[in-house]
Amino acid sequence: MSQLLKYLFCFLFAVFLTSCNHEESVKIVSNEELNQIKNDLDLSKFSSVNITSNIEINWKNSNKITNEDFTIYEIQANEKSISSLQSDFLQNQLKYQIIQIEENEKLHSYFVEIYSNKESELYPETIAKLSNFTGTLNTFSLKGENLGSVAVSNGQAKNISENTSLDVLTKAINSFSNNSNITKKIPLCDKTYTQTVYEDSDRFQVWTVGTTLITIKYLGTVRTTTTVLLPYPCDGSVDKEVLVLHRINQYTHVGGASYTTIGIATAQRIEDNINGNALDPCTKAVLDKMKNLQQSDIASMINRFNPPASPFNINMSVGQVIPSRDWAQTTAVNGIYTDINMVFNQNYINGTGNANRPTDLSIATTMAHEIIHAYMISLLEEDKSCGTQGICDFPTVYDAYAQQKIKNDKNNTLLVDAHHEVIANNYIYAIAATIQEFHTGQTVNSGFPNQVYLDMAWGGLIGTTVFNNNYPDDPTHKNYKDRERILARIIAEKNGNQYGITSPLGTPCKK
Amino acid sequence: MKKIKLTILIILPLFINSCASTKYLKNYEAINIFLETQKLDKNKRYILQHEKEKNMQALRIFNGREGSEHIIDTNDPIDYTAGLFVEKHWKKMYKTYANDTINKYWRKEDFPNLNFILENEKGLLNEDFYNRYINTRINEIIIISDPMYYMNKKYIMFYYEKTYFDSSRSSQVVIMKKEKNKWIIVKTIGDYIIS
Repeated sequence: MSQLLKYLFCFLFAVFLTSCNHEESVKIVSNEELNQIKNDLDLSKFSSVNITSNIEINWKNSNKITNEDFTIYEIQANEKSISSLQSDFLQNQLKYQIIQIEENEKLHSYFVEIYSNKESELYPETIAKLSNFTGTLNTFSLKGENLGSVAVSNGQAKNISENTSLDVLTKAINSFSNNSNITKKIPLCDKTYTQTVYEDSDRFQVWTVGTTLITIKYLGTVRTTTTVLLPYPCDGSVDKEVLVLHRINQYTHVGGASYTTIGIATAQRIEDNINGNALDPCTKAVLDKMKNLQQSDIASMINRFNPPASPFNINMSVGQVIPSRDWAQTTAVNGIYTDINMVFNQNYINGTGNANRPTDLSIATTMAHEIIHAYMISLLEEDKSCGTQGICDFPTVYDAYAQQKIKNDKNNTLLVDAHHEVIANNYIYAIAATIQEFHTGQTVNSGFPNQVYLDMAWGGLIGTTVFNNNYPDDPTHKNYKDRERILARIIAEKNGNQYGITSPLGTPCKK
Repeated sequence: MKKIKLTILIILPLFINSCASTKYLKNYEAINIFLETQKLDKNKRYILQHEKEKNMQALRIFNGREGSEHIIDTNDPIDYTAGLFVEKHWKKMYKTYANDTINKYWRKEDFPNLNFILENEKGLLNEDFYNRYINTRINEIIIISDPMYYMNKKYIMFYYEKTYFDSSRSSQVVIMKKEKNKWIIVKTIGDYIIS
């Protein structure tokens, strides 16, 4: 009898143990499993500079979780130099992780960049314990393809990008959630945040004679601080395609001014190749001054595209344009990807129908804006010339602009809008710093140009999603006065005359 | 004899007019349907360029360049017209519409669902124009061309542009067709000119 009781006790104990294991178990990831992930991961293929150059994988910090439906491998990653976000709704720290999920003997791998909302606890480094976490997982394949975003609200996940590749990740997160409120709106929509990234670049001077290396001199380390206004991904009113564009492109100019010898040389060649001989004296003077700024000249602005494209020629002129409302137009010379035509509308430059001509500040802003267009056109044309050989090494902006809009969107609708969204997302600060130095003669060392130059930098971008999210055309919105101020500044400088209470800061050329 | 001359003088313009009118649609139902898709705020006022935009704008975007010659970029495998460009029909459309440069004007009644303000092209975005609209919340201009027939009247196409007061614009050619008695948008092609 006692023997029978012993067996019964052992059986019940075993059943009890099994029931404890029913929910999940956490184990260490084996070397074999890690090696497979190591083989698959290629950080160099990511479009985000922060991921390619600032992320290290902590292979020793990994775990394996199993529950009823999934086996999940999680490997932590961290930033070598911590970047920071400035946002009124996001915490200032980003988290990174590799997640591999096995479902029905099929593996699904993700590299995730995690944004934690301010009211949430910081990402707990596992998808199994997200009940107090609210934020967004910006998700990539291990080869750097952006798959879109999964939003999490107190442990409940939603595939907001509606990319089927994210279904398994979403289901896996939800398998740990007790929260059944799936209709809850997540997360905040139509918001932006500011990210500040610090990048240290070592500078060397290389002396060679012919093919012989004479000496390499270490010049020092330059810390580049870059601040960029970024949209937050969500399932709100913003066009999904535009969101994807933003997400892929978010760190495009994180590198800021690159001080590698090659970068400067290429950007300088692009600047040198701007031919302004067909410009009127006033516009030519603006161009010459823009070429010779101390810190934020055209070469430096171009260098914010990291790395720069191949050198190309810009032929600037003043003339008639159609549509006649444009202040300037930039187009590729058919069949020659290295040549770009930039025509400034003669009515704009001459102030036709107005008392004055536009100020030098207005022309400088238009010029900076058009040069960025020229750069993007050159990338696209260069891509076409590369064909399918894949021999071109394109900068990150190519991923955002050309790949997304041209290769994936075969309708090729609204090319101009795509350009403007990229500029609005990435180059407002670059344009503002350039025109501030142009106007004041003082370099912008703080990384934050003055408000008036930031206002001017929005010129030509009023129709973009980013602008209208930040400054909605709604008099009850807190930023509506900013919207009016920005538009008034652009118009006053264009008219070269008082507009309402706004006086032009720049100087118009004589009529 | 005088009477005959007078009759000819009266009849001739009518005849010319009747020829011209067959080139264009009798009403603007199609454009109004397209405008519905543009989410223009019906409580807001927009400026409409009084002159119908020149046909050339729609033609050049559809052709990818000015003029009638159509050049295919051998490096670019994507047909941005999605097969809608057919040389024979293109030539016919170009010949019919390219030289039609007489100014024609929109009327407010053409767009009954929107409260447009008509403004002449010449004054758009000049100083006087800006000063007239200061503090009005009106800061967008709509520009539309007359729809042209394409491919034996199977399709129509027209130019549509929305320009903001900072001169930034979004412009495209809109291609539509009538299916089961309803106008549908077949394709929009964005402008290749970047401003």
